[in-house]
Amino acid sequence: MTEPLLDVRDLVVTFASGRGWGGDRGRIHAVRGVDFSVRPGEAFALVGESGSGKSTTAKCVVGLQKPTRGSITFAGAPLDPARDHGQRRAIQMIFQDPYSSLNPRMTIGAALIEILRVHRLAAGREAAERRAAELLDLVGMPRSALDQRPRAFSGGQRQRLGIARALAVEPSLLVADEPVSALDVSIQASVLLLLKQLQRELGLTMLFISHDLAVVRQLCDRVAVMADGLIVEEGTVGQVLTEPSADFTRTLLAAATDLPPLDLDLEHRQPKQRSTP
Amino acid sequence: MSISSSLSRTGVAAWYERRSRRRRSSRGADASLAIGVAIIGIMMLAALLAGVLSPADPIRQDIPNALAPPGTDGHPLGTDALGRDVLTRMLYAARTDLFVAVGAVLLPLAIGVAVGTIAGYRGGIVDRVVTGVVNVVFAFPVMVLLIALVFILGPGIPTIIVAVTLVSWVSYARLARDLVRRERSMDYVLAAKVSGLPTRRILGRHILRNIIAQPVTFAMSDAVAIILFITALGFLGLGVPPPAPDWGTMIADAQPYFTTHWWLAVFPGLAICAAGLGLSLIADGLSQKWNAQ
Repeated sequence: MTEPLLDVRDLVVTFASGRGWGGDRGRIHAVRGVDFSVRPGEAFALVGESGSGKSTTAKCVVGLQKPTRGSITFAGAPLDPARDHGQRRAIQMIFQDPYSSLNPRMTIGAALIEILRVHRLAAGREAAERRAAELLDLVGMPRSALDQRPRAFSGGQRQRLGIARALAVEPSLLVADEPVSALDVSIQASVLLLLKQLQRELGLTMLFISHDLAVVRQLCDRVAVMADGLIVEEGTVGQVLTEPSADFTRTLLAAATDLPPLDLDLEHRQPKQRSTP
Repeated sequence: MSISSSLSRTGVAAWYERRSRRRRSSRGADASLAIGVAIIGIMMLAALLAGVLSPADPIRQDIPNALAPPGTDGHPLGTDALGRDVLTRMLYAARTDLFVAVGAVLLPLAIGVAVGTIAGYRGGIVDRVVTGVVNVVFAFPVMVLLIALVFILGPGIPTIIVAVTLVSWVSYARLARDLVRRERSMDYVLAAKVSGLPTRRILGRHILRNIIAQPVTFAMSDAVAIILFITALGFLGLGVPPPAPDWGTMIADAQPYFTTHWWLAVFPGLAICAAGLGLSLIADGLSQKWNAQ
């Protein structure tokens, strides 16, 4: 078995709830001891209901949240919140809400060029501009987007721009926190398709956070199901989604199939997706 | 499940909100801004060209011609109790008052926004200390502080600017702190962090740009308050020391003549109103323009 790219051991995150001087008063245990590992090149899904701790786990991985306890190892080296430049660069994130995740006052070009220059990924302004244009090509956006601000774009387009930003620093692990749940169903499919293509072409490893099993089925290789801050089941997507062993997974699956229009929609779409480039 | 509901909330509602805000903006904002800039521009120009517009000396006394009514030959706005030309004094007063207002706005704006931004972003102990200091200054009686300062530094323009700065930076600090606290958990800030941008850059290029509209708008309306404050100081005799003219001192000097020689108080009063109106219109126009963006 290959060495995991990301290895999370006994991750615990506890929040103090409310204000007060009493030390132990009102603690929320968001993540209560989570173990999982992601192998290079695979798409690993963390699924669960809202409040199950999956987003908090993702935030720990990208360094936006300090774990209360536990260890995260990335490419063999320990990862703490004060990570070094290289580690920060290697793990990038796609955010859930495409309306708030782009700076409204910066043009797309300025935002991309800033990142490229801070990381010294382009020698000089012209090279940075060229690279920014290539990034837009990569996510299927027109180059004219460089001079525009986020408000000129739809949710799906913004999410593509968010992906371009994440890819600007050439990460090896991409954390996608519900990347399509804020999008129109008809647009979800195209963004998922883009992620899948990128994953294949760039050899990206993905940690995919979702509450939507239909989406996970399309995109991911392995899945871990979270409930109440714990992983209740883990396995390949085929195993977990067809023969769930945990009661909770069965409930989650039942809830998903309760929505026939969505499932039908995605299933009908599948053959089409493969044919479109 | 929640896909369709979250879609309608984040997607359509956000789109619509942005859209309607943008429409509402343009014409009204442009008009306010243009009129405001015109008023303040003319006043500043008049202040700069005071010597050209009115060759008279603002502090030269001419007792025989004292209290001449407006329209008197050589004194279009009349003369005061010491025979000084009211128009000339008003022009030179504009110099003092506008200059002090600008200084007494920019300094607290810069200090307050810087301190507030850092406190709001860092949080924790830094935030608690800053908030504590801000609350103490808010509770401090301004006039007492000012009288103490005038006593220490002596009356004059620098004293006024220092005093106003000491008191009013806290408004900007509190405003900036709250705005930054709201902003720092926004996804685009988190995204900038994940991208590995240095904190200095995140604060300066990302957060500050998104919050600066409110402090600047507030500064414009604060300038009105500061002009009134300087005027009040002049009225109390703590302001610009005589015989240099300022609008407040002019009104204070006019006090005994309110009922008999109206022009002494009315013209400086009008100048104060015009400056206030101009700054308010600029503030209003700017805030509408920025909110639309």
